[in-house]
Amino acid sequence: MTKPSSDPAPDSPIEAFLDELVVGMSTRRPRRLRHLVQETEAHLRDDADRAAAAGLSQYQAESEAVTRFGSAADLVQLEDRLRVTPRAVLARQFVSTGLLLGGIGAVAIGVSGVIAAVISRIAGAAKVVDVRPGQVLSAADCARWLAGDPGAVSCHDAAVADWVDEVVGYRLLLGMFGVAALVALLLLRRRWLPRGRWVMLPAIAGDTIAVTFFAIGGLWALLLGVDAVVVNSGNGSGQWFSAVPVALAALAVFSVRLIHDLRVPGAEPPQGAPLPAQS
Amino acid sequence: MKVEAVRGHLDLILLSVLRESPGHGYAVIAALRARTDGLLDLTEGSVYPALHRLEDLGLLTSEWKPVAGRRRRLYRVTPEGIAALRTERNGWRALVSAMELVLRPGAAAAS
Repeated sequence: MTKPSSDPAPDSPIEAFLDELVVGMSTRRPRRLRHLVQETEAHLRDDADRAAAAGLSQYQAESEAVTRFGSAADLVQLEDRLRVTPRAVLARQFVSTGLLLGGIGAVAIGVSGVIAAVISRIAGAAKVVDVRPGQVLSAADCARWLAGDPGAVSCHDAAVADWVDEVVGYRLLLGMFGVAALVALLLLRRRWLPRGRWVMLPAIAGDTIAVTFFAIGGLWALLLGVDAVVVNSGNGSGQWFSAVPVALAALAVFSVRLIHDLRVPGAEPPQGAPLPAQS
Repeated sequence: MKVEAVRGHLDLILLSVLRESPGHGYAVIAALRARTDGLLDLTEGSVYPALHRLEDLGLLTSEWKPVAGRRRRLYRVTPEGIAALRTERNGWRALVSAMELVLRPGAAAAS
């Protein structure tokens, strides 16, 4: 079987170079390899055409183009160094996503702490957190709680006051950590992320994670609150119900974002205006 | 000029050339050669990994287009690339100023 006449000569320096490049890059993702070969071939043929137009034979022109380009092994080695970047990119994806979602989640918990404090003020501390039915308060614990709250009239009141302080205090503390995480992300994104992006993951991925997180969290808090209403006449439900509106608000925001992501096809940056043709 | 001399500043060079005129790798090299009267003559193959790295970092974006009968990958600088170019340029100028002071201590003493 004879080769088609349009096939390049088998000893074509450009063809030999591209063969070497394909072999050296064979473990690469197919698209990356294909693009690199196409790009390299366009370059080499441009350069060879220029040299041939200047009077060199086709073989000489291709040889010079290949020589100027450098060795395929060097190109493979330089491309290999790029493999470090994806690891760094991956780390940035995790860190930026963790800071954003963790920060927002922690701030949401902090806000729920404020709501819990308000419920405690309005409805009483026992509505936020209370002794569970059947729960026995030990004498040692009672002594500790009463020592911390000398004004309390009973061990129950002292325990509830202590627990409410913990619920509110720890949530506010977590909220402050959340603010710190968001501030850290604000500083890092200037170096890491394109303008308008908060995480390196595609927007649809980050928003899906957030919707899942807040939907599960909100439902979980709602069920525990309802359980407290059913089992304990609403006492202790406030610590759960205080989280529900915050989770719902965050869920609504991220749901709107997710719907927008799904309607806009492609998470890649938009294509710019047509580039000027160059040769 | 030796390639080693500019290796640490390849990002600056590529961003600077592409900032003025988006284009493909061969055009970038040709523009570089023309602008420096051939003084800065890089190993051409070294430019592509650098372009790919800058694209991975979000400083460049690329698209494939047929130009003069060949399908080519055209690069343009992103807004983040413009910001990075500004930073790199300032760094380079600071380095040049420092080197001037080192190499011409008389000038430093006179100022």
